[in-house]
Amino acid sequence: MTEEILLSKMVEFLTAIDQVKKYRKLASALIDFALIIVASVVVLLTLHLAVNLLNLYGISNVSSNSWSVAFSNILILCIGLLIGVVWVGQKTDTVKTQQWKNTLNEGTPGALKLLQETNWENIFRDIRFAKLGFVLYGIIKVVAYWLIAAFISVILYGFIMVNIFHFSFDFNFISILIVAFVFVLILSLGDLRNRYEQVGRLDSLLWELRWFEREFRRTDFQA
Amino acid sequence: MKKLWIFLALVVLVATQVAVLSSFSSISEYTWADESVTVVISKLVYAHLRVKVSISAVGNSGTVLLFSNGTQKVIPASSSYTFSVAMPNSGFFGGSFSTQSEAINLSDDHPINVAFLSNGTFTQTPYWETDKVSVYWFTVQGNAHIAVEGMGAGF
Repeated sequence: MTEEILLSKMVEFLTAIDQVKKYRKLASALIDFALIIVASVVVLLTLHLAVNLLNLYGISNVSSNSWSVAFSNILILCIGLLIGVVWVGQKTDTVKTQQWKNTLNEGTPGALKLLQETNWENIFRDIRFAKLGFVLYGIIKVVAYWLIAAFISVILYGFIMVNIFHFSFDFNFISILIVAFVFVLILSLGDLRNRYEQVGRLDSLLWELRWFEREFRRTDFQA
Repeated sequence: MKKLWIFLALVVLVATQVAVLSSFSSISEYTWADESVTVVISKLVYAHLRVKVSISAVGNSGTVLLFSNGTQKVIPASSSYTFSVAMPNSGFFGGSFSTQSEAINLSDDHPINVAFLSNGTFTQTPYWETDKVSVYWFTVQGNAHIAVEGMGAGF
């Protein structure tokens, strides 16, 4: 193997490891994301409780089924989702990448030094966590989009039924939930497929690295 | 680990909020009064209820409201009268309970109720309270549109 091929393979390997570090950070930021989404649901339910209590005690006449409350629901969920995505993005951006660049510029000795300093067990563990985080993040995102889609569907349905067809606003909530879920699934299909393929790539990376680690240790021992 | 406990606390909070929200129920009942209709608003004692009653006199003759305390209110022809009825929590009892009649249909799942009785057949004492049920009623005489809208909660 020439030095050029070795270095290009090392760049490929270290870039993949950087990506794994980012996914690992994503996995650790997942609980923050879930906290933000659940907190926005708490805010939404608090709004409904406040509106109902104010009605009950005759302080206000705003119905919890009014358009203003419905739009507030969507706004709260959208803001929660936005904060969550930005928060996770910031967390993953804090991962320092390409720190190996200077060492690799030294050529083969630099590449060997990087390989010898690699903590393989940590990398294997990071890949496993990265896979988990990557999948869970996708699922939580779909659920959050589903909530928003359900609220928008209820508002649209109510608007069409009451204002256009002049029917009563008596809807089947389960049907709307199912329609919203299918709609979100169709929209998220590309993202879900990417995640599935990425998890497959992480699996391959894990097995290739395990094989490489074994070979590298054996070669190192013989040398 | 600390974040997981916060997450658990938030999930418990959401479950509690959903449980409290499910105890609210809204009332929206309408009817056309023809000659005489008695409106019976009832609730279980542990429930809280507030409704807005709107009566629109229809036709050339006026409409008369006969309240359970004996007072009367005359609504001139083609005009409306609106008033609120608040029935706060007035007691507590354990165990399940249900009662069903033409005027009062209450249970733990349905702690507030509004019923319209044609020809004023409700003959209970004006505002009677048992240890489990509270009732408020009034009679509308004449042609009118009656709307009862509001909210109740099982606490």
